Amino acid sequence: MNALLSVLGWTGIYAPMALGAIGSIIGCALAGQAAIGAMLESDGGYGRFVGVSAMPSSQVVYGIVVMFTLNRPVTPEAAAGLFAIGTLSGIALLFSALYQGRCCASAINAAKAKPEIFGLSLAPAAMVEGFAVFAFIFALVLSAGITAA
Amino acid sequence: MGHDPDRYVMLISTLPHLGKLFDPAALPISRTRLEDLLTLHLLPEDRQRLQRIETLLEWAASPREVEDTTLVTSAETLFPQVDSATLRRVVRDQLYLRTIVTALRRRARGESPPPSGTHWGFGRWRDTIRGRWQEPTFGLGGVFPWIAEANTLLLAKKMRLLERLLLQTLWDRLAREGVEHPFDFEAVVLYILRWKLIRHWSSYSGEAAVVRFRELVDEGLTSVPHLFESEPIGLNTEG
Repeated sequence: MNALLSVLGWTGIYAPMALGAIGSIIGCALAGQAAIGAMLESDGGYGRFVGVSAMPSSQVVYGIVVMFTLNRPVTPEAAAGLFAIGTLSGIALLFSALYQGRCCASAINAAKAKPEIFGLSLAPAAMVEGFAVFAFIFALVLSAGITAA
Repeated sequence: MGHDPDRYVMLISTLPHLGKLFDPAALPISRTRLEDLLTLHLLPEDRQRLQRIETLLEWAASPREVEDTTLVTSAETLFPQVDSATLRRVVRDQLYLRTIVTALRRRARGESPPPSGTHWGFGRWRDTIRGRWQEPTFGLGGVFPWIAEANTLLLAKKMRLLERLLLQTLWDRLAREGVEHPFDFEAVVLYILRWKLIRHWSSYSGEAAVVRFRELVDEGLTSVPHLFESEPIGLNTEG
């Protein structure tokens, strides 16, 4: 039983980073492909296309911070909390990065045709980022309640 | 289907934005360039899927009336092979439109409804059309609101306006489906179909001759791949 709890605890500690990284990988790849495609068709604004395509990388940073915050000796008392907070925040970060990548790809695609809407087209991606920040902040807040040892 | 829906992100982003349907100068990419991009980005199985849809829609755009048994049978065989629900809806609606326009034209010429059991059109509405032949909209006005106006324009012999109405109907249909498909294979097909609508309309306008000339120059007057040989969206309302 203790071994299972130990596995769950360590899974919870590492999950935010791993899942956040997976999300950032997919999100940045999606937006990056869109940026490359847009560069082929555009005469300028390459830098901002690439910049936008990097937006989904923030989730892995949040995941790293949550991971270090959760990092503590894994005891039977702490394992359930570590697993729940770590895994759920990681899933939230994964999906936010993935869908933020799609939003960024759409923004790049739209801005290519109509450069004047570039800023506004990023609003959906910014809103998705906001939800990732919620998951991040409240993971930090709740982690304070997990037994340390 | 085992397809990665995000595989087409780069292709979609490479394709230039399509302007307005009835803007004759709006064709933003030549068919040679479009063909090059499709060759570069689509896998062979994607090309086959696209080719099936092309074949179906070439049938829908055939200048012949929809009474050729071979063509109808071929369409009915190919249709179930379209492996995307969205694209099946798009193709089906285009075939319905073609069937209804054919019926309107035949009736306008004073012909009787096609005999029962003959292959003259596509889909579930054939019997309804035959049964309600004398009604202005074949009793389908609720399902296809454009029929009433199309019938009026046809009887008034306003073929250009009729063509415009039908193209706008198809355009709106494609735009509605496109909302759900920003970056997948369906988005690629919908883009191509919308590109063809613009191209088809531009063939009607005088300014389009210039566009077409430039396009031919771009292509170096070379032969064009089979995919774009015909005018797949041509509705042939002049009949």
